[in-house]
Amino acid sequence: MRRTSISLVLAAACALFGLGTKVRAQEEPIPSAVAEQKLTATVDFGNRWVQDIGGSSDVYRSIVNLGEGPRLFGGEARYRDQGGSYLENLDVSAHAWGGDPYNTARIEGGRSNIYSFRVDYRNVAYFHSLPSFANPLLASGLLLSQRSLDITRRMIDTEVEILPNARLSPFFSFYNGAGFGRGVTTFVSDGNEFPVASHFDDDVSSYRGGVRLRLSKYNFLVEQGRTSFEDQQEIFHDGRIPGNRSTPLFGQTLALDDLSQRYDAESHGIFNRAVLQGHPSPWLTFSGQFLYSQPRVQVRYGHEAKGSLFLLREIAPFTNGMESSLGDAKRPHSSGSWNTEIRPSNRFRIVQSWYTDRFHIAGGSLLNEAFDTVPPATTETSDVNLTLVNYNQHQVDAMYDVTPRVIVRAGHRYVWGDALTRPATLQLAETPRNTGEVRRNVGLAGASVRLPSNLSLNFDFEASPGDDTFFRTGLMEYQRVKVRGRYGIRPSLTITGSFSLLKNENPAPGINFDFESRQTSLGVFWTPTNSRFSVLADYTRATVRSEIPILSLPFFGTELARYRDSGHHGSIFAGIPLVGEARLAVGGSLSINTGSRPTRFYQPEARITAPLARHVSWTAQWRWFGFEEKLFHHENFRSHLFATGLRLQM
Amino acid sequence: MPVKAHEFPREATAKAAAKDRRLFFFRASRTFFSALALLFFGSAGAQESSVPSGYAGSDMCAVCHEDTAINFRKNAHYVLETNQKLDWSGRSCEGCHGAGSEHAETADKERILVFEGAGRDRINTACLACHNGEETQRGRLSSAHNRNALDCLSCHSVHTAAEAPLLAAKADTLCSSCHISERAAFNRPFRHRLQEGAIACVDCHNPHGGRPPGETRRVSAAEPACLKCHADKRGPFPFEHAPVRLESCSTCHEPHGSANPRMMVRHNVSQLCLECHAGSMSTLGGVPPAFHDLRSARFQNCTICHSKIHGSFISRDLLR
Repeated sequence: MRRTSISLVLAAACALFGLGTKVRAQEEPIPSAVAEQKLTATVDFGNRWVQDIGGSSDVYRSIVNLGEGPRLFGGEARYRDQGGSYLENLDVSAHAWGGDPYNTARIEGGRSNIYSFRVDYRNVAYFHSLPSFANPLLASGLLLSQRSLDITRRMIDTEVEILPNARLSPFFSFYNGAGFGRGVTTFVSDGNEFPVASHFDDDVSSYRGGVRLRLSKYNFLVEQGRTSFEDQQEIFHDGRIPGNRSTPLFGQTLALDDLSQRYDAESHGIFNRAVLQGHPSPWLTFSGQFLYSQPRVQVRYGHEAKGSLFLLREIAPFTNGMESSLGDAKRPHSSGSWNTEIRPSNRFRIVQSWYTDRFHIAGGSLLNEAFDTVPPATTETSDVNLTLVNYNQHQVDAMYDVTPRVIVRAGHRYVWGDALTRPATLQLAETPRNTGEVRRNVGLAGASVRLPSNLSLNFDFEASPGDDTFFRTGLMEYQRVKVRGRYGIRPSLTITGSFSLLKNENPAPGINFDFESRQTSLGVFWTPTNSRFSVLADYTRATVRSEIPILSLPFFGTELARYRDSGHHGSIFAGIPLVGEARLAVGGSLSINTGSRPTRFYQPEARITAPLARHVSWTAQWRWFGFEEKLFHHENFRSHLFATGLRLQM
Repeated sequence: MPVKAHEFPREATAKAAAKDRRLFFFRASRTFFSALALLFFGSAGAQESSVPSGYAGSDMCAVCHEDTAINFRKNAHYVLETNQKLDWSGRSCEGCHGAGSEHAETADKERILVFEGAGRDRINTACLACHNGEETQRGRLSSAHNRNALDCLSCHSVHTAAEAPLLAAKADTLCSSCHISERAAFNRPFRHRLQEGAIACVDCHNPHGGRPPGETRRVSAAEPACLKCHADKRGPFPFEHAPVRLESCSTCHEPHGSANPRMMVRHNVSQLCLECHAGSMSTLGGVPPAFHDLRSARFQNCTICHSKIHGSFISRDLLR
C-alpha cells in the first residue's frame, strides 16, 4: 500500500513536470506492439517570447537568464534491441538547446557483456551582475557593478567500460571542463580601486583508467588518473578612469590610464585509487578505499599599470609600476576510508566507518616590483607558505530491529584533526594562531518506524559537547534533530513532513557564538484514482538566527554581528483535465525572505497540453518571474515568458 | 542442483557464484557432455534440462505475467537472460524472485519471493547479491539512507522504471519527495539551476553513500564535487584560504539556494569575513590591521581588495 501511494505521488509529479508518457508507462501495461518497438523518441520544440522585463535586466539575467527565440526544449530517444549485433541499448537525451543558458546532452548505451559507454555534456552560462554586491560606491548612488561575471562553463564527461559484467573489466574515463568569459573586477593600487575588465579562461582535463575485478564475494577496483589544469586570467584597461577615490591622496588625484595584468597557471598531477568491497559471510560486509594524489601547480604572473598612482610605503607618486612573479605549489594528498557492517543476529547490526584525509600544501612565490618613483623603487620579495591538514572521523552505529517495522539505533562519532596555516602578512593586533585543532565527541541516536497503516517516521538526533573547532563559527556545542514522516491517508492522498533543527554554540571567551536554524516542511500529494486531476503542494518555513561578537575597526572595539533569515517557501502545482485529453497544469513557487536581506521571488506558471494527433501534442506555457529586494529597489525585476511548441512522439 | 522454492536469492546467487568458479575449469567437459545429451536426447530434451529442478523458467513465468515479461526484454536486468556467464539464462525472473516451480504449480504468492512489503533486509539482500560490488555502493554502509533503513525499492522500480538506472521517477523528483526543505531552497533567488535542468541532485550527492556533509560526491582525486564545475577554485594555491580546505564550501555558501547574492550564508561580505577574522586564542583566523576602517564603504566590501578569496597564486593576503 505504501508503495502504491508513493508510485501515485511520483506519477503525479512526473505528469506535472512534463513526463506524462512515463507516468502512463507505470500505470498501464504497454501494448505488445509498442513494447516490441525498437526505437521510441520524444521531441519538444517551439518558440519562447520574453515580454516586458521591467526593472533591472542585469538582475534578471543574474537570476533567470532565459531568452527568446526558437528552442529545442527537450528530446529523448531510446533504442532497445536485445541481441543486437553491435548495440543493444542506446539512450539519448538533450535539453534546452537553441540559445538557453543551460544546455545538456546525455548519451548512454552499450551491448551487454561487451561494452557500455556514457557521455554527459553540459554547457552552462553564468551571468552575475548585482549593483549591490561589493560596491563601495553604492551609497553614493552609483549603480555599476564592480564585481560581475559573464562566463560559460562547458563540461564533457565520458566513460567506457569493456566487458561490463565479466570478472575482469577495464574502464576508461575522460573529463574536460572549460570555463571562459568576461567580467568586471577591481584592480587595487595603494589608496584607490579601479573597476576594470577581466577575462577568464581555464581548462581542466582528467583521464582515468583502471580495472574492476569481480569475484563472488569480493570486488576490487584499481585506477590511475591524471589531471591537468590551465588557468589564464587577465585584467586590463585602456583609458583614464578615476577609480573609487575622489579625494586626493597626499595632494595627488589618483587615476588609472592603462593596465595589463595576466596569470598563467599550469597544474598537473597523477592520482591512484584502490577500492576493496566484500561480503565474505552473511554477517559481514565491508568496503574500503585508499587514494593518493599529488597535484602541482606553477604560475607566471605579470603586471604593468600606468597612470597617476601612489606608492604608500615610499610615500611617493608614480606613473608606471611593474610586477612579475613566479609561484609554485604542490599538494600531496592521502585519503582513506573503511566501512564495516557486522550482523551478529538477524535483528542486530553494527556499522563502523572510518575516514581520514591528510594533505599538506607547500607553496611559494617570488615577486619583483619596480616603480618609477623618485628615486625609483624596486623590491624583490620571496614568500613561502605551508598548510598542513590532518582530519579524521570514526563512527560506530548499533541498530536493533525491535520489530520488523521498528528500528532503533545509537552510535558515537569522534572527529579529530589538526591544521597548520600561516596567517596573513599584516597582523597589527594580537598574535593570531597558526595551528588549530578539531576534536568532537558526538552522540547519535535515531529510530525508523514503518507502520502498516502507511505511516513511516525517521528520527535522527546528534549532540556534541565540543572540545575544539578550527574556526569561530564551526560546529562546537551543538544539537541536531531531524524528523521525517510520511503518511498515506489513502492511496491517492499522501502527506509528508519534516523538521530539522541545528543549534550550535561556542561559549569560549572572545567567541560567544550562538546559532540556530530551523526548517519545517509539509507536503501534500493528492492524486485521485480514476481521475486526471492532481495536486502537489509543499510549504517550508526556514529560519536562521546567528549572533557573534566581531571586531569593530579601526579602534578594535567589539560589536555584535546579527544575522536573521526568516523564509517562507512554497510551491503548488495542480493538474486539471480539460476537454478530451487536453490538460492544464497551473501553479508556481514563491520564496519570501525577511530578515537581514529581505527578498521576494515569485515564479507562477501555467501550461496547457492538448493532443493534436496520435503522436503530436501542442503545448503552451506562461511563466512570470518577479523579484523584489526591500533594501535595493533598483535590483527589482519582473517579466513574462510565453512559450509554445509541439511534442512529437514516435 | 535442486533449489528449495523459498531459497533466498542471495544464497541461490552465492551457490551460483561458487558454481561459476568451477565453471571456468570444467567448461570443456561440460561442453562435451552437453554435446552428448544433444546427440542422444535431441534438442528438446536439452532445453528442459537447462532449467535446474526447483525452478520454473522464464517461459513459464511469462505465461501468467505476460506484460511484465514483455517489458522485461527492455530492462537492464534482461542481461541475466542473455549473458550465459551469469548462469541465469532461461530463469532470469527467478534470479531475484527465487526458485518458483512451486509457485508456478500452485499460483500461490506465498511460495515465491514477492518484494511488495517484503521488508528492507530481504529487498536489499536480493539486490546487493549482485550489486554490492559496484562503485556507487562503496559508501553505502555509512550512508544516512542505510541508517534510516531505506530499501533499494524506495527509489528504484525494477519492472516499470521511468528513468535510467531503473528509477521510479526522475532523480530530482524522487529526492524532493522526502527532502522537501532542500527542494524548497531552490525556490530562492540565488541558487543552483536545478529547476532549469542544468544540474541534478545526483551531480553533487551520491544517494548510495557519499562523504559528509550531505553524502556529497568526490571527483578526480577525492576533491569536493563543487570543483567539478568550479574548476578555477581547485588549486592547489601557494596561498590557500584555510576554510576552503579545512572545512567545506558550505562554510561560506548555501549550496542549494540563498536569499543572499552568490549563495552566501550572510547578507554582506564583511560580516561573513569578520565572523572568523575577529581574533581568538582558540581558533584560526587572523585579525585585520587597524587601517581597515569599517566605517568606510571601501572596507565593508572585503573582496574589493581581497579579490582572490578562494586562494591566490601570488599573494599571501589573497590580494591578486
